[in-house]
Amino acid sequence: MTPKAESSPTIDIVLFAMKGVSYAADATQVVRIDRVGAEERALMVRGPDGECRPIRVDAVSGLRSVPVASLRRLPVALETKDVAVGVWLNGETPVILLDLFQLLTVPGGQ
Amino acid sequence: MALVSSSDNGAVRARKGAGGLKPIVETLRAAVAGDVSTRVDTRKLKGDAAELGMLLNELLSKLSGLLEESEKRNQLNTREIELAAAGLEALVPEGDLLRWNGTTADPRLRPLLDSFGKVIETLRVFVREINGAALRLSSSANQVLAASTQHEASSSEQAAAIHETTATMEELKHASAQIAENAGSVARVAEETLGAARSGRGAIGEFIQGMQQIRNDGVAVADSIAKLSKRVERIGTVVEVIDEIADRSDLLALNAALEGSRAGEAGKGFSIVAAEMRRLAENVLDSTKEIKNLITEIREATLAAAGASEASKLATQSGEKLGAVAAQAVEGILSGVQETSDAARVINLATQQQRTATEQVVASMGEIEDVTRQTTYASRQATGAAAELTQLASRLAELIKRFKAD
Repeated sequence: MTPKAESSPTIDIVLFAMKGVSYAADATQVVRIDRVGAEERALMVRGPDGECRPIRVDAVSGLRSVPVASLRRLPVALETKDVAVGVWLNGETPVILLDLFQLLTVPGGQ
Repeated sequence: MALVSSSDNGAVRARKGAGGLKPIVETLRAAVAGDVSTRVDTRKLKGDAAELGMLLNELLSKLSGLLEESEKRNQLNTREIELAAAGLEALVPEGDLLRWNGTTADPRLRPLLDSFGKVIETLRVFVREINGAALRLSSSANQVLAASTQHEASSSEQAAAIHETTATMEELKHASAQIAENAGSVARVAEETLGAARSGRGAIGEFIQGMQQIRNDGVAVADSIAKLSKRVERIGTVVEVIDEIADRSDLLALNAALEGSRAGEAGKGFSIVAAEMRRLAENVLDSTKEIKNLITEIREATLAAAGASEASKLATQSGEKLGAVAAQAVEGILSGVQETSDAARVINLATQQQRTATEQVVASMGEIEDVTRQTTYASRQATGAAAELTQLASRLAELIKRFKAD
């Protein structure tokens, strides 16, 4: 961590995996984490109607406080229905940031 | 001389009696000398002397007639005897018994010639009988020769057959000895096999006991495996519970972290505790995962052990069955080997007896061969004698043929 990074504001992200791919999302979008089935997890996200709906994930790796500077927005041309909003640079490894609210609207996203 | 002396005395008395007997004396002296043709000249005599002279002359005349007749008869007899001698002499070189002529006019020779005739007739009968006997003898001699020759040939063949039989019996004797030796070897091998089979029976008994022990041990192992499986299942259940708790703890820690995150600075400490709690939960999950893996391995190993135990059980049962079969087979082998041993001993004894009997037969055959050899020699001698007899019979027949009797 550089001194500049230490001074920058941080944001909590929740790290999870779906179908073998690691993703990250704003932790504030997750109401709670539930268990679905034997081992799967579900990120409970409150939808526009105020109801909590599950987004099935393979696993939840945890929460991390990351500098905002480590987040990048994707070019508009690459955005897919506003689900992937950017990447988090975990060192040299980019992790896609998902907008869980948007993901709720995608068919099959839950 | 006595006569002369007596005559001299008589002449003296005659001279004294008749006055002259000189012519009578001289005539008598001539007659005594063999001349019976001299006669007394009676003219010079007288009286008694003349009568004596006439009587002497008459006596001499009768004597001379008798002598002449005797001479003729002698000549006839001589001729008849010469004829008979010639007939007898003809028998010798020609053997002709038919030429005998025994007729004679002399009744004194007739008995002699009749006797000769009877002798010659007897000889003819003898010759005929001898001729017939010679022919029969020749035939019999030929038959004897043929029989002797055949007997000699038969004896030779018999000797050869006996020699061959003796050789065969010798081979049989050696074969019997070899068989006896082999039977002895078989008996020894059978005894050894019997001992080995008995040892095998003991080993199979121990094997069956071992199999039973293994089966019992296998049952105990199977029980232990079953208990172990149950314990493992129990551990699995416990681990599942722990895993469930850890998973819930992980979930709880995640939610606590979320809550801490939402609490902002105030929830920092809570988030740290939640993170630690989640790390612990993850450690527990890792441990329980490892335990599950171990339990899985244990289950697999237990299943394998159970399978192996079952296989061992089946193998043991199979081994017991095989052991029982082997025991039964060994019992059969024992029985068979015992019978073989007994049979080999019987064979050994029988072949020894056979060898002894064969040796006796060989000895007997040797004696028979000697006797046959002697018989052959005797037959050969008999053949020679028969041949000689045949020759003699032929010679006899030839000799007899010289006599003409028919």
